[in-house]
Parts: sequence; structure tokens; C-alpha cells
Amino acid sequence: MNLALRVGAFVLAIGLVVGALAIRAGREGGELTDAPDGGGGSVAAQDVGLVCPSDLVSLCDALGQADEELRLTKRATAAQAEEWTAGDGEGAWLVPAAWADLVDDARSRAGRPALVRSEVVASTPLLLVVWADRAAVLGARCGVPVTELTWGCVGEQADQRWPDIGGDVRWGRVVPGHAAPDTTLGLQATAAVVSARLGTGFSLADLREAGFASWFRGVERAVADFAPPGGSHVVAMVSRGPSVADVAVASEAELTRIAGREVVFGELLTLPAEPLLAVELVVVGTDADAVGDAFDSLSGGAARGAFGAQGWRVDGLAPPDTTLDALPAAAPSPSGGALTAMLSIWRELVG
Amino acid sequence: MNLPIARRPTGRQSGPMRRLAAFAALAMVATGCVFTGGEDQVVTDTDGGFDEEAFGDCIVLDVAVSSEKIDLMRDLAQEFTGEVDGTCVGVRVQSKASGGAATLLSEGWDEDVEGPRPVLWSPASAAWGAVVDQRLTARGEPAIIAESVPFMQSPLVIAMPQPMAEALGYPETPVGWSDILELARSEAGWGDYGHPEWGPFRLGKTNPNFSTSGLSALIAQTYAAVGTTRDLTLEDLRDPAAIEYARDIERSVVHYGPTTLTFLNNWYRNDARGTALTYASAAAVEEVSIVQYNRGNPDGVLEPGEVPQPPRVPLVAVYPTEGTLFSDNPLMLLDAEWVDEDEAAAARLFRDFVLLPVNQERVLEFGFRPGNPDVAIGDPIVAANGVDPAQPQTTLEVPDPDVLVTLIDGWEDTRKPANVLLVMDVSGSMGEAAVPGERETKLDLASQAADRALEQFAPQDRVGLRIFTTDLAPASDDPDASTTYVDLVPIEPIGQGAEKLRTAIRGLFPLNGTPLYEAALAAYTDVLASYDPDAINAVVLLTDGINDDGNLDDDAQQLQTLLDRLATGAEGAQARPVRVFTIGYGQDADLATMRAIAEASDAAAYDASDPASIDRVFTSVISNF
Repeated sequence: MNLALRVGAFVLAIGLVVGALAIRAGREGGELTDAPDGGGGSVAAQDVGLVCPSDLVSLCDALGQADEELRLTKRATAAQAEEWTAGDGEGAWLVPAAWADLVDDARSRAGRPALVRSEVVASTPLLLVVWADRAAVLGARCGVPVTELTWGCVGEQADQRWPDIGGDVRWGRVVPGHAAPDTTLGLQATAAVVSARLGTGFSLADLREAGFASWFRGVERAVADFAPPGGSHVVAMVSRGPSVADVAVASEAELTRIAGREVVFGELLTLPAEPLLAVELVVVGTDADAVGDAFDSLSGGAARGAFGAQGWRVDGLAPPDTTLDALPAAAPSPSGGALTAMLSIWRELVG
Repeated sequence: MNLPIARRPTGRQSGPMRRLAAFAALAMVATGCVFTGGEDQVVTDTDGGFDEEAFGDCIVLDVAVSSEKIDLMRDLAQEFTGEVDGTCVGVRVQSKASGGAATLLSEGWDEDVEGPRPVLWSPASAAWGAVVDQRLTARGEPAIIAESVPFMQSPLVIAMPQPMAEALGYPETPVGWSDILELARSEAGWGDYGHPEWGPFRLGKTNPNFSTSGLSALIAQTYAAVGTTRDLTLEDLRDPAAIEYARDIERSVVHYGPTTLTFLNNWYRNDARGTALTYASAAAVEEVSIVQYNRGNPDGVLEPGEVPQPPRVPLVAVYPTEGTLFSDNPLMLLDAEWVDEDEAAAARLFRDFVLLPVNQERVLEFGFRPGNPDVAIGDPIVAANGVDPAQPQTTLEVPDPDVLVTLIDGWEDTRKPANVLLVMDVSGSMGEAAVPGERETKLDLASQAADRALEQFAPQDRVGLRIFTTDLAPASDDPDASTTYVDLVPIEPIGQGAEKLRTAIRGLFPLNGTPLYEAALAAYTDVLASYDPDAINAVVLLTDGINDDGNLDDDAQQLQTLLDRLATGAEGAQARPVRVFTIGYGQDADLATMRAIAEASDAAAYDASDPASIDRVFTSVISNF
């Protein structure tokens, strides 16, 4: 493919992504604004202080309760991204840095300045969770110890019948799980899957390469549900069992939701699959003061405690109590342009 | 044929009636089924005592739910408090069978008849939402299912008496639809597993047009036939091997019907007699039904003073190897023209409220799995109740709507055919006004209902019509010819006899007494004489009164003889069961006796004591075929 065609394809990809985001934003409806006391049970419009991802509702509620001065608006990340790609919004937005990268990439191509961005306020690494009995079969199939399972290996087996690769006939087919990339955590979760095959420095050309496209198509078409009950694959796996997924991407923060829960379905392993990506929350906006104020609020002791209680890592606080030993350093995130292209490809595959 | 009675034209014209319209009628059944409680039933219950005055200035949120969760949802509605922009919200919950509500939402919801149109709809399965949207969009109308989250869950399982499941190697050996197919195809039946005394394999399976279990079972067996767990296609449905697979499973079916409660109640009653293993070998039900059955409460409802007695032979849940589907009881917010923004906001508030962990823990009490994944599965979803919380291991994808609708429509061609004799009471009391002061008689309404119900039969079905009353002129010169009944149309393929049936039904008029027991026994005996091992053999018996043949002295003996014959015929490994489905029609019907007759033959009794319900009841009865 010559350069012009590649550029054309990339522009088309951007259009598809923006269109997809608009569609999702429309599907997810309007915004929900909480009163400063975080009390539910009523719906009323209020001023916007900080936009918080609506699919991280527990975290948003906890932050709202931690700082009564903070006026939170919950909004779908994709919808907010679409708005700030097309123009300048008001206030500040708490968002994963990867999403901010994606928006900045689009803004730069439209001749708009990058968003003002704070330092990371909290982060959570993305892990691989897998049923122990399935992990043993996958490890044997891929010729690696269970602890070294990667999405590269899992992807090779996706949608295969378990008895064909040494597993139990009752397990059905190999079902992977990760959140849809047009959700707050899903963008980076999908990037983790893709990076296992391509590395974190992938490009549009890598994504279009036939071998990868076939592999990625196999993985994504084998995902049974991109939006499992409770908004989390690992939570759904613990509450509903292996029929949700055999192996999934889970953030460390999600694991705190199931801490102490008895798992009746078997042993669930949590692995730091390489390359280890992390979701890093930052505050962004076009108004530096608004960003600064929100960052100050989220850096306060109460807010930091709220992040920690929700399982997020915050500098200076002990990491969440998980079964994992020390994690390796997180790999650098793919670029905003690469993430945009990945989203576009995913939309083509999943429809 | 020398007909003993003259026929009079009614002047009524019965135009073609679509099957879906018949199913729509089902949703309106107020008193259509004798049985209560448990699985999504053929029951409509309007507002459950909603206090209009207390919520006079509030936003009234109308919610329609399938019957298995009506009590819980009404409790939650009463506990709920919420406001939208400062305006209070009142929640009005009505019960609607899933299939019936799906038809109403797609075909038209008459609020005068059906109660208020819902803003929030909770059928037993999300598949019904797909059916609604598909039917609407196929007509060029917009889809209406906007947002959907699961309220509580129960997987479809194959319920089996524990000894039978163990004979298949369960739980160590995986068991699935392929095993069911093998048993269904076997001439030796359970003899292949060392138990010839259990006879042939007999499967209980409900009608997928009405029952969520039936729909889920149809989807699951189709996936098993195709050998996949998702992406079922129209091409798959046309695969001759898949069609053969379906036909062979269906041939083992005992009968169909609108609810699994018929099977569970009959199983439970047979268990008390020690004949559970020959009544049915398996039934496709929701997991919750097994929990309730093994607790000694097969219909899920405890009457005052009723003490649950666990069965002698418990059921176990077989989670099919090929995978299964969950009935997820979704809370669906409708994006319909009758829903305004305030109502939608109120619906979201109520939805969030019922999903709170404290409220979700209550669904466990009913034997369901919580819809909120933050609430852990626990008792009673435990092995002691015959279920396995660690199952299922594989779930199946709900097919695309067009595939789903085609699958349901195609079931008509693969289901087990019926060999049915409709037996209608034409005693004098049937000439009474159905509603005091109105012109139409009970017989008029029953005839119209029977006429419409004929649409539900498939071409492969064989149907006959018999009337009964006292002092009929004999139908032939045979000195033994009956003077209490006469066959207006012999049992024959409905493709040949439909018009004759219609003509005969329209010509009915009331005559004399009600020789109920004699007519019932004769009908049973005659269908048994023409028993078709490849069909559902049954009598549908409609009467509006008690036995009245002019001789009270032998009534008790007649009834006992009838019940003994029916029970004996239904029992044993080599039984040739003829099911007698009874309809108690009008206020004077002897419902207790009708129930006894039905239960003796392992069928079901239907209550049409409100004559206005007869149309829906007929629809419900015919869904057994």
C-alpha cells in the first residue's frame, strides 16, 4: 500500500472511530449529575466541575463523597472524547491517559492544541485472570509455564474446542474476555491484548498485516460478551463462573470488588501477563485552572483514600492487597494514533 | 352418517386468524390455569392493588413482569421511594407472561383489555426482547428495547430423576443433548442403560411460543445439532441433519404446554405413587424449578398450612455439555412512543434500586441467581438441592432476532404431531348466557374459542370433534351405539378435516344433561384404540357442569372407574398414555373433579370459570400440542 493510500485509510479510520464514538455516546444516553453529597434517588441538572467516567460509578461516587466541593458529572468516556475531539469543552475530565492520548491525536490533526493534562492521580495495572484448570491446558498447549501465559498464546487458542486442545468437553470453546475498547478501561485492555502480539509500539500497518488481522479477528469474535454483567469480566466470572469467560483482562482495581469472595467455580489465577499495561488516570481539560483545581482536589488526602479504597494505586499509599507479588514495571502505552487505529479495526471486526 | 341432531348456523364468520394473534390472547388469561406459582405462567394480573390515590400527583411507572417474580417485584415497588426533578414516583407492577407480552408489544397493546402499557418490561429472558424488536423492525417500525440489564438469573437445565441421571453416568460423565437424542432414537429406551423397567425415554418440553424454558430448550438443542455455541444462522436451520436431530428429540416428548409446572406437578404426584420414573425421564426446566421441587414445593407456592414434603426421588440438574442459556429476567426500558422522559428517568431509578445488593440477596430466597454480580451465589443454589452452582461451564449465544423468529416458526414443522379428540359439552346449561344480560351463550363463546384454537394445530396433527349430552339419538343402527355422545368429525388429519371441524363447531347448540364420566371414559377409550405411538395422544374435555346423567346412584362408582382407568393407562414402562386435558367452564363447573380427571392421566386441568376467558384457555390448552 502506498503512502497516500495509507494516509487515506488512516483518515477513514479516524472517521469511523469518531462515528463509532458518536454512536456509542448516543446509545449510552445523557449525563447523570450527582448532588455534592453523592446522594442518589433523584435526577437533577447541576453545574459541572469534574466529568467522571460513568462506567467507574463506584469510584466516582467515592470521590464525590471524599470532597464535598467537587461537583461530579458522570459521563460515558467515549461521549466525552467525541465532544472534546470536535471542540473545546468546559471544566475538567478524569480520564485514562490513553484516552487523553487518543483525543489529543485527533485534536492535533484538526489543528487544535493538546488538552492540558495533569500528572497521574491514580493507576491500576491490567492483569490476566484465568481459571486454573484452563490455565494448565493453555500452558501445555503453548509450551510455557502457567505463570508465563500471555494473550499471544491465549489468542492462538481462542474459539477452539477445549477437548481439541486437551481440555474438558464441558468447557465448550475457549472464550476470552475483555471490555470493549470504547469503554474507559476497555481501550487499554484491548491494547494489552494487541500488544501481546505486536508489542506496545504497534502502528496502523501492523494492525493491517494479514497474520495479525486473522489472529485479532479470532480473538475478538470469540469474546462472548464485551459488556458483562456488573461491567467487569472478572466480577462476572467470580459470580457466574466460567461460562462468562475462560480468561480475561482485569484491572487490579476490579479485583478489589471480589476480594474475600468465595469462588465456587474453581481456582482463579491472576497473572501479570507481558507486556504489562496500566491504566493511568489523569485530569485533562482546556482550562488550566479547572484542571489544576480538580487535580488539587483529587490529590487531597480524602480523595487519595477513596482511590485506594477502590483498589487504585496512588503514590505514597500501599498498593491494594492482592495475591500478586511485586509487579514488573508497566510498559509504555501505545500511541494515541495507534489506539485510534486499533479502535477502528475493532469496529470493523465486531460491527 | 346419520347425525342425531340438527345443526343451526350461527351466522358468524370465522376469518383466518394468525397464530400470533392466538398467542396474544394467551397474555390475557386471568384464570386460565389451575396451577399457580413458579415458572413464567400464562397469567395476567393487573395492578396488584396499586394505590392510585396515594400516588395521584406522582409519576406512575408501569412495570410488566413475568409471573415468577411478581411477588418480589411488588414488594420492591412498595419499598421504593424516588423522585424525578422533585416529583415523586409510584411503581405499578402487573404480571404478564413473557411470550404473551412479547406479542402484545409487537402486535398492539390494548390498554382497555391488558392494562397499562409498560415503561419497564421484565420478561423471563432477553430473547423475548429480541423477538419484539425483530417483529417490529420486520414491519418497518422502530425497535423499542432501549436498555436492558439482568435482574436475576436461572440457567436452563435438563431435570432428571437422580437414578436416571446416574444411569447416564452423571455427574462424572458429561451429559448433554446428544445423550437425549440417543435415548430418544433408541427403540430399547432405558433398556440400553440396563433399566428396561423404565421403558422408553420420555421428555417433558414446553411450547417455545409461550414458555421461556421451551424457547431456551429449542435454541439449545439447535446449537447442539449444529455443533456450535454461537452465530446460529438461517442456513444452519435449513440443515437437514439439524432438522432430523430436532424431529428425533421431539418424538420423545410427552406433551408440550405453556408452563413447566405441569411436568413438575405431575412428576411430584407420581413420585408419591412411586411412578416418577415412568412418567417422564427428563424435562427442560429452569434451575430454580429443581430447587423448588426438591424442597417439596414444585409449583413454588405454599398454600396456607401446606407443609413441603421433599420427593422420594429427587431431581438433579443436568447442565448440558453443549452449553445452555440463562433466563436472565432482564429489566428492559422501552423506547416507545408512550414513554416520556420522566417515566424513563423513573424507570432507571427503580431499576437501580432493585439491583442494590440488599435487594438482590432476596432473589436467592426464590431459588434464582442474583443479577447483580456483586452478590454471591449461595444457598439454596447448592448440591443438596440437586443443582451445581459451579455450572454451567458454557453458555450459548441468543441467536440473532431473525434466526430466533425463524426457529420458533420452524418448530411447528418438527414438533411431535398430535392425535386429539375435542370433546365438548352441549348440555342444556351451555345455553345459558355467558354473561348475565348478554345475548351470547356459554356455548357460543366456547364454540368461537374452539374455532379459533384450530389455527394452532399443524397440518400433521390429527383432530376430531365429539359432543356429549344425554338422550342423543344413536349415530347408527347399532344397538350398542351411544346415546350420550356422537363424533361430529372423526379423528383425521386437520388438513383434511379443518373445514368440517369449523362447520361442526359453528353448528353446535345446547341439548340435555351432562353424562360427564361416561363421555370422558368413552373418549379416553376411543383415543386409546387409535393410539399413535409417534404422536401426543390426548382428549380435550370441556364441560360447564357436574356429572348429570339422570342417575345419581352410580356417580361415585363411575368416577372411580374413570380415574382408575386413566391412572392405570398412564403408568408403567410400556404405558400408552392418553392425556385428558380438562377445561372447567363457567361458574358451575366441578373444578375439583376436572382436576382429578386430568391428574389421573398426567395431563393438566384448566379453569375457565369466567366464560370470558375461554378463548385464552383454549389457546393455552392447545399449546400442549
